[in-house]
Amino acid sequence: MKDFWRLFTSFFKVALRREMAYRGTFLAGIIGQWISYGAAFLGLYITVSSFQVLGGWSGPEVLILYGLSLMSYAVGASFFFNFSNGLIGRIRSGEFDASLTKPIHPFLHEVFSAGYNVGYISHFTVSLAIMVLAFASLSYTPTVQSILFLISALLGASLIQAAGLIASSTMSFFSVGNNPIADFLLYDMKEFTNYPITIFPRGIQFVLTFLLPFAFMNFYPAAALLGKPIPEGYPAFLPYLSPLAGALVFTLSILLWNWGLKHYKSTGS
Amino acid sequence: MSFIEVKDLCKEYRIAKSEKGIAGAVKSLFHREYTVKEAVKNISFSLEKGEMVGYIGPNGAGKSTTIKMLSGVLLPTSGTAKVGDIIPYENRKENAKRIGVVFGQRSQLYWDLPISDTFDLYESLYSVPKERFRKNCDYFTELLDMKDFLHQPVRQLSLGQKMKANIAIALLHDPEVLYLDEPTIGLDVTSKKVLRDALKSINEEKKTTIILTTHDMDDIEAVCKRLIMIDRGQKLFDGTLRDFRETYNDGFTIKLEFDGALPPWQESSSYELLEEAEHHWLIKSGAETTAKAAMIELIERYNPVNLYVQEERIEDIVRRAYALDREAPEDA
Repeated sequence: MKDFWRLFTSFFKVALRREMAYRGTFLAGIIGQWISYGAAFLGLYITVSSFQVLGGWSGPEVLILYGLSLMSYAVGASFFFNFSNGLIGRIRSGEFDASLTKPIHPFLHEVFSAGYNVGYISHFTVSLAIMVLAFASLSYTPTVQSILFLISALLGASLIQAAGLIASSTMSFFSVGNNPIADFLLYDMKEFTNYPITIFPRGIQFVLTFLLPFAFMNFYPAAALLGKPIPEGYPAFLPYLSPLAGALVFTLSILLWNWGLKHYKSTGS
Repeated sequence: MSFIEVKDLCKEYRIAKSEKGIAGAVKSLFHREYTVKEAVKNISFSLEKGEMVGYIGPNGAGKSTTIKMLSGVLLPTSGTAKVGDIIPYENRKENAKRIGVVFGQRSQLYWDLPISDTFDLYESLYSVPKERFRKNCDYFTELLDMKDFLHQPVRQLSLGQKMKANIAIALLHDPEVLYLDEPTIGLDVTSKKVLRDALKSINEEKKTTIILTTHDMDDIEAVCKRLIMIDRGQKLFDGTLRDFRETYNDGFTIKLEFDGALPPWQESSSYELLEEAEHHWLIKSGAETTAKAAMIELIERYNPVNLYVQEERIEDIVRRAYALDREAPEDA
């Protein structure tokens, strides 16, 4: 563990220096993201405010769902986006082989050397603003407990987002490149969670809770905070399981990645 | 028991056949046929500690595949490889601590940072003790003449400078074995010389075992005493450079220069006229006569003003060895 932190800090220092090497691009990137997510937010805001109430959730409450999803994505993607997105290129060019000649696990070496993407600070700030505004318009009074709950839920949510990125990168080991089915499962299914899952058919609720547990990123924590009902018949402690769900799917995604790596080592493609 | 033992090593790749046209593409969605390519076929060799070996073969011969199995990147289909009692592809991490790898055409440096930053990173990656790390940094900076560009971002460096840096970072943790996959590719004559000299010094001073693949026979002549040649996945030759010359040698060329007009050429079974110019001949002599005998005979017969003997270039010998292998049936 001590070794892990020493390695992490050395790689992190390098990653930050790399990010800062191009200050202009860095700033332009952040501003660009502000604009694009601001626009997305505006679109959603108009939708929810014109619906008034969506499955028992008011406009600002739905925005909290969106904010949680975006914030956890910002945290997860800042560590794993470069890695996930760049893996296929590194495998095709043969650079990935170098990771297999290092004395640490290739997953760790790939994630570390892919670098930390500082650009996600824009997503983070946008999502923070959305949530502060939404909570303020609900006149929500936070307690120490609710803040701690929110932070732990966000950690779990970030692990779920990271797991999605890791799982999608596993495709790179099979020389198929982008797989539309995987993209659907890992990106499009997530879109459902911009709305309370109680408005969807039971099948989708089940999938989003037990198979692709994206609902633990935002719906369940938000339901707990705002006192909203969860799907009928589901255990009442479910909303408190986000950190556990996060740790579980994160572990599973690494096991999946290792399985892909094994395939790569025996086929070389 | 040798330091590196490779026994009956095989690697097969399954390649999906792609059929032509849209109809073929649709068909391959449902049913895909594979062809098996044997990239490495029953290769065996052993290496002692501190040896420096050239591993040569034409493109696609299986050189890189062998290196990848030795460094733990790929699993063999069958056979075994052992590096200092460790099976590299089973104990990948253990093995990684003891080896250095440079894949010639791919850099391991960070594009936007100076080399010195990558150096620091490797210190913690390999948990090298601080003092030994400092000493090695200084040693390789000096040996590879890197002082001038140590603090420049990598993107501003030349190919030769990047290669030097890649070799340096592969050696900072004092590995016992160094694998170099085409280290001199694309380098100019001066950089090649610096690199070859450095490799010789590293081998002598640090006793590092070095396996190097290359297409440049001058690399082999300059640094390796031993040569392993493979083609189509099979080993064709394993021995000293001298033995290699003797095995595949096909004679030498002699150039005769004349003052005036050329004398009439006398057909003979021991000499072949390769080239005829206004004032000279280029003659090929078979390996059965010595150069001395051939020289005396040709001087007596034609009385030239100048005579030059040239040993066959190693490159030509290698080319002929590949050609001989291609003529033989595939599984001979």
